[in-house]
Amino acid sequence: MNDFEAMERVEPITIKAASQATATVVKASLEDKLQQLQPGGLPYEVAPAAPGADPDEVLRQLFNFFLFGKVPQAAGPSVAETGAVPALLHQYRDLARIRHDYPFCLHGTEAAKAVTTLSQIIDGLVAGVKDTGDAGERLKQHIYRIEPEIRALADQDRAAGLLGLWDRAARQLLAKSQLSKAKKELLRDNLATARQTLPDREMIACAADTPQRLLTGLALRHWRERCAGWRVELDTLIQQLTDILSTDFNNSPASRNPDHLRESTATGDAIDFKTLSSILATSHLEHQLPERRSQRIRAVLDALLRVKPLFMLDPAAPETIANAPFAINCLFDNCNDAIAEYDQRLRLLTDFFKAVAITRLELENRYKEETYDDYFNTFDVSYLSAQDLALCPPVLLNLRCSDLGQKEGAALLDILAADLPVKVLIQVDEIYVRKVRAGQSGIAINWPARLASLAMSMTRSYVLQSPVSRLAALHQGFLDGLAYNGPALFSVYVGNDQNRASLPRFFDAGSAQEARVFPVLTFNPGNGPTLIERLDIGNNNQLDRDWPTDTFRYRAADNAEKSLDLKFTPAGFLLNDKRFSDQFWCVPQACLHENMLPLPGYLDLDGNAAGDKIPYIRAIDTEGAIHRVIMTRQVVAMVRECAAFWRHLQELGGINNSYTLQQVAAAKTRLDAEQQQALAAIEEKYRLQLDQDVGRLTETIVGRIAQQLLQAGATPGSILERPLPAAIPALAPAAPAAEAAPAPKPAAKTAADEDDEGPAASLDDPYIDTPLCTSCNDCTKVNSLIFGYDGNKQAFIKDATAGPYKDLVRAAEICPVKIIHPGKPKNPNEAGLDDLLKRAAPFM
Amino acid sequence: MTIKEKTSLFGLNTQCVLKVDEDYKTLEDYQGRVSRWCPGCGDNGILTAAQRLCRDEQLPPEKCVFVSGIGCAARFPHYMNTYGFHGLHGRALPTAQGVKIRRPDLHVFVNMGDGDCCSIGTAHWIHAIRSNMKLVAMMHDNNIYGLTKNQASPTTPVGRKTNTTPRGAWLKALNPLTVTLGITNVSFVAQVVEWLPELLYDVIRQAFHHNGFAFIRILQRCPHFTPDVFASLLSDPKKLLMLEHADGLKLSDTMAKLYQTREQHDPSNMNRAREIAGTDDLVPIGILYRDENVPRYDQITKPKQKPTWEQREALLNKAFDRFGINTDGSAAAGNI
Repeated sequence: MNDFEAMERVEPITIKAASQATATVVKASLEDKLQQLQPGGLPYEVAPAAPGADPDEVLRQLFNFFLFGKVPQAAGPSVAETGAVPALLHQYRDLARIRHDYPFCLHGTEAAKAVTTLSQIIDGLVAGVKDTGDAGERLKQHIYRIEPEIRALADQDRAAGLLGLWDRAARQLLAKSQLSKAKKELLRDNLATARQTLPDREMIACAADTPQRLLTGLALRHWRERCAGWRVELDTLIQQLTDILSTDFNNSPASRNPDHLRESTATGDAIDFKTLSSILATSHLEHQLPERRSQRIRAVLDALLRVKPLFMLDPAAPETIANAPFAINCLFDNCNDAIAEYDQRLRLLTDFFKAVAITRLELENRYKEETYDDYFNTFDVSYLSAQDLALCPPVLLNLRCSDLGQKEGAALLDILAADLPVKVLIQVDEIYVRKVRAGQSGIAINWPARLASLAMSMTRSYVLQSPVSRLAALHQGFLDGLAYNGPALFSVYVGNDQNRASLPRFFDAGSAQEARVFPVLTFNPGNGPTLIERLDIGNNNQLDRDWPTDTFRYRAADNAEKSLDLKFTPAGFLLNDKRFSDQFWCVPQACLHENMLPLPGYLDLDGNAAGDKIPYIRAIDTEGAIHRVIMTRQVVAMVRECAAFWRHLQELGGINNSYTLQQVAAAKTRLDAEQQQALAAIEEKYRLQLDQDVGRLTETIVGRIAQQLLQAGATPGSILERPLPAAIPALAPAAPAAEAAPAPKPAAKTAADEDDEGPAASLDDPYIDTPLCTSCNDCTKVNSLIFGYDGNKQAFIKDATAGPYKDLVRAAEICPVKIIHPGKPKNPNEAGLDDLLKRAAPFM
Repeated sequence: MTIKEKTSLFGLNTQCVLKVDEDYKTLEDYQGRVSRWCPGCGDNGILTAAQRLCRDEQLPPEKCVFVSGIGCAARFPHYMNTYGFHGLHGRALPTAQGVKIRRPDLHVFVNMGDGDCCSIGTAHWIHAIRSNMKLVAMMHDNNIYGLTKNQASPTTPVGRKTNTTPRGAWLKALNPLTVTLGITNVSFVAQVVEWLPELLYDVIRQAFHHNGFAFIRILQRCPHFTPDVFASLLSDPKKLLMLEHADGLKLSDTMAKLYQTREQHDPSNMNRAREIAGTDDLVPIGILYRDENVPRYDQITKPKQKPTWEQREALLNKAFDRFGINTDGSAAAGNI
């Protein structure tokens, strides 16, 4: 393949501006995207090497590795040295070029709409460009151009503001641009223009702490929405209590004090407050509140004021968060603290509801001390209804896998088993770990990675399991979990920077999901009593299959372009983990053996058939060469375990449910049998009928033949001329198909529609039917100040007053398509106007 | 639980910004020298349509080639700020095919007059259609040899007086549409007039996107030598037969009001296309025929398996050995 053909294959998709529409991103088919994303072209198979070693010896080496993990001396480069990644992931090496959900920002107060991705911000900017000409199209193109730069920078700098990222990306873009000076200036100006409408928000990249930031941001917003109804009511209650106390004070002797009178008026020393006080002292005082009542009211007012900041939280105003009695978005890092915090919140909540109850009684003047004092003295959490308890702000607990020792793990299970509204975020950074048992090193599942399944079995808590790459699933899952009135477990796989080989975190996390190692699931007991209502695994790809399949295109050793359907298995996920690099061997060309077969095929074989086979997966190095990578039996065992786990999940989720399949098979067998019986009965019935008809016909025909033969002068053919009995009905000819009615033409626009398009221009002004212009240059040559070309090189009236009326008339006369209309002359004193008007008349 | 429709791996949908060029090209970026065609010449409109196409498709100028022969239309490459080849009379098509074979990544356009294409270049025209390489061939048909000042061309109407037919052209004009539609492997044939810029652009754009050889006959006025040859078409819109279809032309409401003679014509219908092409009383405008499935020359001739470097080396060695001498003076094996 020569360079030019290679170039044709990787021709990039560019933004194209439609002629009169806004610029659109070209929607590439998946196949095109796969092709376009191949860095430097399609991956290629290396030509097979000449056979070297004895095949039996090669097989022995392969089995040595498969069984014992021993690599021969001339093993070739390791997986890490080649930088090999699973074949289906090769095209995703350059993440910045691909539009995905990261980075994103949190904004606004509505939890459901709080997440906006960079792509959405860019799309919003582009949609806001009103100019449909070249300038507008260029601006849109420049806006799209900066997006991958910002994305790349956000990946490096996790806590950057959008404006800062934009500025750095713009500088970077200008520095490496090959444009001319003038075009660079345009690029600079356009980026500056677009920047003006950008909101300044903190962008969150795909990082280990992303789930925490998302959860805390959503928790604040969710709480704000949840207590929205209470905000107004609380203000009202506080105001009313304050009024009561204020009125009571005004009825007290203290309110007649000269100092108080001076403070409460704005007259300065104009009034003699001493005298006023003495006058007022003689006036009648209204009855004051009893002391106990007054104290009670003060106490409940204090209680309400203490709680009030909690209901006034505003994500956009950090000072409101700092003033709250406790931080809604605080993440605790151990179960005991979380439980203690919950107890404290519950106490505050109890005080709050107690205060509210007392307040309502007091406002209605129904509080009777002999009735209610004892009641409220013993008021505790048991007095609260389920609805009241639901108002308790949830406690957020953040744990890492490494935190989950025996004690902490047990405490966590207690939380999940109880009804405490503690929302637990588990950051899973390792799904598989090395374990040594009986001197043998193996691969074991890290049990916190299966915490979601454990929590589901408890049926009391909301459960979300998702990799960090699935932002939409995280967003919705967090919201549902926060809304759930009980414990929630959010198990999020974030990966580990130290373990990851070459793929970025987004794809490492995503590949955990695709390989069924960490599939997305939600379990919401609040949705209903049945599993079908509670469990949802619908966010996983190709649910009905063991492994998702995707098309892999490559160039074979004979240079032919080929494609394969490859399955993405957990072996591919594990290949990207440096800790297990010794479990894989990139087999050199000289060691390839016919007993090697792809892993999914190997898994389908039974024990005997698989005995002499070696499973492998395809991986691609940084040069694009395809390698066959074999693995140890521990990896195969891990893959089988994962398949079993996925099938278990499928069954729970209603996919390939074995009970259902069994019932369906039994029903099908029964129905088949019934159908066969019915068919047999019908056949038997018609066979009998047919036999009878055949017998009768035979008799008739034979009789006639005999009759004819016996009669003298029988002519040939006369027998055959007799019509046959109408026992067999003749088939009626099929009626000719009716001609399809022609499709109705769409109604043409009427004159009324045209009138609705706005007021027509005055016919006294000159005008040109610009869309019909053929760009012949005739009018511009007559007067280039009057006539100009627009962005599509079609003529329009630039300035009707820039020349004499005779130029307008001349241009109208010579225009080959007669689209220039000179209108009426502006200057009544122009020479030869009568003649000009006559000449202009046909063009009016 | 609802099973969501299949998505690609990692939830990535198929709309991706893969590579965006920061260099946005305007019409000016595609304009070469100032045109020296006569005022009112229809070539100007065709030039504008081509430049608009390049701008709208954001074609890199260095990836575009305009190839022409000799004639007024053949000035085209000079007025485009792209690569161009102003070649010999009648030889635009073989030149363009050569460019395309060697550089399949380039966008190749061909500009020919009616004489260039239908007279001296006829043989190339026929076989270019057969080869079906991905080119856009525009025939600027003004019914005359204009550059050489008023000689009859194959499409000059019968009876028209020219320098070479002072008593009027004897022969009935050649019909390029019927000729093209009769050639094996034809895949795209269209006809349009240059004084309807909206339709002209639409047809050229569809020709550009066609997966094969796209032939467009553009009726073009010559204000100097044949100013009246299309006068009746200009004055009477009913003489233009608009070929509408979902796969062909889509008229705007304004055009539909002006041009009442319309027909729903499916471009895949060859029989009807030939009938329309052969009509004398109406001038069809639009796409007469289109077939995206006709194999292209590069597809037919592309080897299923390209030789590897080792195989090529072996072939070369074998060829050299026919004449080679070993170092000891003996003839190489395979010597003839």
